[in-house]
Amino acid sequence: MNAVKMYINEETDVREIRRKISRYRKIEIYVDKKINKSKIIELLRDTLNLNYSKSIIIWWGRDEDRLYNNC
Amino acid sequence: MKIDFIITVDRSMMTNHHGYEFVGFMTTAPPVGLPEHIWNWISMPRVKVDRYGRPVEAPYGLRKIEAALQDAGFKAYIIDPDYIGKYIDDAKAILIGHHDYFALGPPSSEWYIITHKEPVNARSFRRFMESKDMKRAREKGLKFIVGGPAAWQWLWRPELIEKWKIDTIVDGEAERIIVKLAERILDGSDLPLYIYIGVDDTPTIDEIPVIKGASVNGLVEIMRGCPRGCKFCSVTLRPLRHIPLEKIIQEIEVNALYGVKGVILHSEDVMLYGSDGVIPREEPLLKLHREVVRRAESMAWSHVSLAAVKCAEERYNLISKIMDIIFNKQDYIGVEVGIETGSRRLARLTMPAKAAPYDISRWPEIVEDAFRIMSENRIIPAATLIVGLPGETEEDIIETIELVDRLHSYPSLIVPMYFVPMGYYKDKEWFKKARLEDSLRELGMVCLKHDLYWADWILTRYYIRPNLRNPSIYILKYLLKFIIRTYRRLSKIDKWETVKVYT
Repeated sequence: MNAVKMYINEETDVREIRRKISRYRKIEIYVDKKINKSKIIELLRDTLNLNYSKSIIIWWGRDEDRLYNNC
Repeated sequence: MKIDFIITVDRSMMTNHHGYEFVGFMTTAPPVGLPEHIWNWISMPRVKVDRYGRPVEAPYGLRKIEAALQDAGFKAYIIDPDYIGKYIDDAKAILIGHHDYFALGPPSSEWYIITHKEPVNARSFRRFMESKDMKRAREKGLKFIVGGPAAWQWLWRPELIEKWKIDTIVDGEAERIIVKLAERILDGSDLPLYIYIGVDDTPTIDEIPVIKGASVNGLVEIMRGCPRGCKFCSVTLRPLRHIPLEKIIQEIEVNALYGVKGVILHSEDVMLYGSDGVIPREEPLLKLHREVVRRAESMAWSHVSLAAVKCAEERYNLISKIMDIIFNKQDYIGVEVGIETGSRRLARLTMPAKAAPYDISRWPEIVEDAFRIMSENRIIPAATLIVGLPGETEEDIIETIELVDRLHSYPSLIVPMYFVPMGYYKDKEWFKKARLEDSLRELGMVCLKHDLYWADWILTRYYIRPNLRNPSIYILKYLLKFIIRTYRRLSKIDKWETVKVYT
């Protein structure tokens, strides 16, 4: 399994994000609107530690339903 | 003319540097000893445009994005930053690509640390983003996509993503992904905030389009990626691809059609064009150069590796053979090379394949041999050193200083690039935090003396030859000579002994 989709809101544990990012090659992240853009960018930067070996896409402001409805 | 996608960038990138690519390095520094407007006139003059405000020459990366979108049927054009206002009312998005948005990359970062002043490229970009036209574009709700080799820098300035209403950051080779983004913009679909294009999504050779308009100073890509795997370089993460000769020729012809008759062959290592690994191959290299020289008025290489220069000459006399072809059109060629370090220990740790097919333990000797070969063949290198790498010791720096000293007799420029740990960029005043150790200062001085010694000679003898067709080049040459000679006087460089010139 190479790809993963994940939803991040204010309660998501950063360690879970880090685990998923380290395990998969293609990562799609949906971010709750309540987390502002700067915050998610900082989180991404510090979590990835700029290890650019993966494909990453971040959708900001998409809710969890869209993740499961495959939109 | 109606445009849906405006592709643009600030003046520090949308310029041809008067036709002298190396003058472009001045955009990475703050104005030193001159008022900013004169510094900018030297380093980033306005470029010619057509009646629609489309620049005759534009950065190659933007040309690729333009071509990918036009091939997919979109109304997308590169527009000079002074003319974007004409299109804002109808356009759907502004696409921006840059080498160094915030002057966080080398050598801008180094100038930042040394002078504590913001380089002109970052000033120019900020002025552009705060301009009346860009404010109006934000008010009108246009989408903003940013990318290019410096896309990573947005991660360190997240507050500007919100301030300037950036919708999407694209990091990586974007020819494939930009078409999907353009479709989403026209559909009114939401856009991702960030895309990093991994190996699986990089465009194949067939997906890399041929440019539709001229590139700055005739730059044409001949390869993407690099097989050497140095730890400090991101290019090595990309798959290695050789652009077919037919496509290279097509792009040279596109440039010529727009009056750009010079060619810069761009690759991380021009000598490896058409090779299977790290050993240069005679046939594709000779064929490439014959075809280029037949079509171009002048040519340059972007980068070669020193190991490939040595290997090519020692095994096949290939450097001499290629230069014999080039001498039909000109009497020298300029190129960037990476020395990176004079320390065998550090070379083994950070760039074990840089010397291949030779053993990395011979690195300083390979550097000297390659410099001698280049000097004998009138190839003038601008070399980089990477200093301040984690784990670097005083001993490593001393070995590098000794190597630079041994290169003193070869016409060249040697520039130390200071490695800045990424974490520093969290602090807006990071350049005050980064300190140069004494040994690094000494290395900087040794390089400065080397450069000031040779810069005047290179400038006078080879680089800038004014002619009556373009009289402003006389002023450019005078100003550059003035800067070099002032620095020489201040550093007492004129007292250095004269050295033997091999060319």
